Amino acid sequence: MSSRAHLEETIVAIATPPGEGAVGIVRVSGPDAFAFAKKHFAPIRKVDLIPPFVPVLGDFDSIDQVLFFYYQAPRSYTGEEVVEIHGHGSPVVLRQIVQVLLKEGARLAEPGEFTKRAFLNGKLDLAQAEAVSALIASKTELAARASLAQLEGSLSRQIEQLRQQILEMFVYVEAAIDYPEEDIELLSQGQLQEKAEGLVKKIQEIRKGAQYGKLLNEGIVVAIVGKPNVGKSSLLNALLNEERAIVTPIPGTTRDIVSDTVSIEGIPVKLVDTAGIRDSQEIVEKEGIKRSVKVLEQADIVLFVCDASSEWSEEDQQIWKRVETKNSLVVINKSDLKLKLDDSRFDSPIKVSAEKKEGLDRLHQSLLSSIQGAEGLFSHEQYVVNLRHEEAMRRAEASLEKTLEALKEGLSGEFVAVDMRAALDDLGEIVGQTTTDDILNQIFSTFCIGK
Amino acid sequence: MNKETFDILVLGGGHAGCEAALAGTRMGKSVCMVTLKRDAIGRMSCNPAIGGLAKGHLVREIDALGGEMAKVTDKTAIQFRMLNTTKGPAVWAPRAQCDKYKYQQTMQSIVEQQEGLTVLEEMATELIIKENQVIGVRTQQGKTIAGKAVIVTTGTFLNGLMHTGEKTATGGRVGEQAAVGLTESLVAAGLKIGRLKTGTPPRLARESINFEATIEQHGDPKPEPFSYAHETVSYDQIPCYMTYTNDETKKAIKDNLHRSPMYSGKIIGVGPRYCPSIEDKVVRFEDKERHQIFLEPESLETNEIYVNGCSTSMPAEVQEAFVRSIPGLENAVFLKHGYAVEYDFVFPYQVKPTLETQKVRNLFLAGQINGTSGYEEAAAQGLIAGINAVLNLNEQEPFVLDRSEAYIGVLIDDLVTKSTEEPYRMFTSRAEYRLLLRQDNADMRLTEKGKAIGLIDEERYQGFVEKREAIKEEIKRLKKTFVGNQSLEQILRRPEIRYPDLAIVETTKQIPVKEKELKETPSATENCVKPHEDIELTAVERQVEIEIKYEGYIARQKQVIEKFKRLENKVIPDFFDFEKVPSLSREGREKLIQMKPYTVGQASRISGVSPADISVLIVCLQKRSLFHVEH
Repeated sequence: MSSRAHLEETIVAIATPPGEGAVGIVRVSGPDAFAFAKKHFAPIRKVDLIPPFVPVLGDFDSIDQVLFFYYQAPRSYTGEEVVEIHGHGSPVVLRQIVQVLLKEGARLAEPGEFTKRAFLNGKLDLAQAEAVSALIASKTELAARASLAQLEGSLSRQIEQLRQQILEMFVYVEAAIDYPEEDIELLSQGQLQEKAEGLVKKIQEIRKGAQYGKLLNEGIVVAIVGKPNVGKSSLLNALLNEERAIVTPIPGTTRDIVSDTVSIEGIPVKLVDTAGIRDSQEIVEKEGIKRSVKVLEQADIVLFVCDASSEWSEEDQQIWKRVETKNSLVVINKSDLKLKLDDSRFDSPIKVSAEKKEGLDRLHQSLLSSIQGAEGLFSHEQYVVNLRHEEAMRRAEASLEKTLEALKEGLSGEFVAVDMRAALDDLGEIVGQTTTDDILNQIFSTFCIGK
Repeated sequence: MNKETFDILVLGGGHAGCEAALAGTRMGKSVCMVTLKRDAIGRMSCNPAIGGLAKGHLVREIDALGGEMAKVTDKTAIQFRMLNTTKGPAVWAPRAQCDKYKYQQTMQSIVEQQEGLTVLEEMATELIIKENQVIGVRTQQGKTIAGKAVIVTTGTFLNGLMHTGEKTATGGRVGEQAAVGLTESLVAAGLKIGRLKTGTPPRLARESINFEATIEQHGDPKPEPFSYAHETVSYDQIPCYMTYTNDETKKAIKDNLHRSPMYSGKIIGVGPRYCPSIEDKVVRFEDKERHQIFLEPESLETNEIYVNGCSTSMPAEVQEAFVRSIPGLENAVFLKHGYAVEYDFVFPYQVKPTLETQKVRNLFLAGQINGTSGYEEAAAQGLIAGINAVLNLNEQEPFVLDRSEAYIGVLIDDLVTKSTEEPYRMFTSRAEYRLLLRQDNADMRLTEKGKAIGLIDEERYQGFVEKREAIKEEIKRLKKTFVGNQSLEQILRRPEIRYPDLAIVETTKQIPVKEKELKETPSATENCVKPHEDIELTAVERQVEIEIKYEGYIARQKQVIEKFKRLENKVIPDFFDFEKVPSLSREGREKLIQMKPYTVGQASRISGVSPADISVLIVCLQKRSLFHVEH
């Protein structure tokens, strides 16, 4: 990521720690902070937004009712124009607010960046500055590493492929500019246009199919399965209670499949309670079981629940067979009752009592590490990184569309090049920058150049 | 013992040496040019052409800063062409074929007649360095010449070794001796030296060529001079010719590849990929049926024809065989055979953006010794080295152009932040802000700076100010003058409208029929110039037209530049110690110590320096300034 252009841009981030809280804060800092945020804020009463430090209550882009704080430069934490939007603590809501501001032209703050700016604007003393220097070094490194290493393999391959395709087309545009006297075979305007259309289509496909899209929009699906009466529903309720936040009821919820989304360390997790799975001749129940099996198959993580107070049964065995191969956690409920179940068959079962609210901490922890372990990409760091990627991809798509527009208008190559270069730079934030040398290498290996 | 003293010594009289010596003298210093051969001052060793893509831009910039190259070109060129006119004006590029003798003589006479500039025909063989500061040179004859600053512009002469087939000869150019000894001085001073290679094609006798079998190419009917100070050029224009290689040529070359010093492994220097030898082209692009060959007269008065596109180091008889397979050249008589030349260069990360070496104070390097190729790249560096040598001696602020100001800035920034492994040539694709760095506005970008340095005289400056004002006034007028509900500015933005149409619009009060409905605020892409039609515009009219039609894109690039400038303006002081910066990555620290960037912007372009390193660097620089404030 080019660090140089970054310093004077308007940045935005969720300022409160990941996870749930009563209040969540989105902080925006930089020259356009106020302009960007004001656009989407509708005060409830007619009030003047100008006086600093006076919070105003209002509606933010119909997302949430928020308190709007405006700190005029230099009288702010960072010394720049700062807006703080205090919303209700849900990460989903906060993320939507952030996304609105990203679309306005702000960019996601890097770790430690608010503090860095505070420092650069002389808001911190020397001792603090020393600490900041070390902090920035470690955090930026971490973010940079996370960015590449944690990107899901196939996605990064797709993006790299796209970058290569853009580069291959780009050299035709560039060669036509720099080598007008050479006898080289160039592409016609029509051929270039065709290629540009292909690139736009490709980036749209990648964006649609990208893993992080699912993560950001739907969260992780956790299915709770088990035979009837092992306490699935009470476990769901206990977990929801534990997380304190019922965020959005999922539309399309059927009577027999109950689900709710909670936030675990800021990551949206959709908990799905299924009807008990068993052999049944009863028509309604049969249908319910069919759906349960489907949910089970689509889930990212499965919580297999069994009853501590009853012995291992054929029914348990039937379900276990379906669950075994999945990313699953074994939960032995009703641990407060007398143990009848032989738990030695499981590696590390989690014993809880949904009713007595015992063992839920452990379950929470296991769930979290399971989430983070799922394809290695659901950690909090990665979550932030994903937002960055999504943002970069969005800009790259816009640049490619402009490229196509310029070609359609029959503009000369140097204008087309401006947008193509921008697209390469955007993707460069994910897979590494395309340097002039890369471009020249490609030109010299594609064309026989030189008098 | 014979001892002379000067402010500045310039070692070499090529394109870099001339600009360095002239700039130094004109800025008030006593300068001595030490050259192997007086009559070779300003010689065009290879293609007798100036300009081309990006290179033409460099020449315009040299002119705007008060250099000499553009002026001499206008006085001696025999074919002018504006390249790329089917594209927008940002990538138009002037190119001129010169009479190589007239060019050389004109430059030599300017140098020799320059008051305060002494030319010594000697070989400098040793740099005298005392306490990391250069204080003079010793010559082959044992003479010591004292100089407070030394600019080395040795071109291809430093341990030059020429190859033609199996034969090798020492020398920097055919018939001229190599420069020896200096490399040892540079190595002793701690500089890392490498080896590069370049080549030149054969020269043929005009009367032996059958031009009927070739395609005639004419220059522009109305040549546009290179120098902003010139209205016209000196000579009538003559044509060049084009022909093609064929299967027979290919075969003659391939059958003898083992005799090429390139392929037999005799040449170790790295050659330029953008200027390959004909043997390279045949091997690397085997499928290509034919290659273009341009036949370019080297002079109005001699019969020498330069065979452009045919650089080679094959044995003489092989050259003769394959050249004679080309239509028009069947009976070609060789005046000179092609050859490759290897020479020493200094990896340019070891110089500062002022072109002073990091290790030795007041020692400057310019031109091919910094790993570049081309007259224009050399001249640009010579000018910058000359200017900074004077500023150094005067203890004044250095003169550095950044990437958003000039191609010269791009050139030097690339050299110092990226170094180079092959001869470096300028391309427009190297410039991020290509749409702003145009050949037509180099005067607008740089004349003010040339004036401040003292290389642009009052008269020329006044002319520039008038032009600038006229452009400003006219744009203002177009914005304020309305026909119907549209300003002339809005009307000019339309692709189909050219500047002269506005006069008609004004008198008839009729808005021309629209091809498509004009949107209220045209998008950036709509404001640009359609491919050039051959219409005549004054310099002012052209600027007005470009500024208005390009406005959207210009504004976009200016925004980017504004951000770029903020880091670029963060200067890293000379005494800054990267060793003491906490938490830099190991590679980042090593590279920063090696490259010694001049600004944070430059540091950010060095490969191996991570964004985290840059953040840490900024914090430390800021801390330093806070620290100074407190005390």
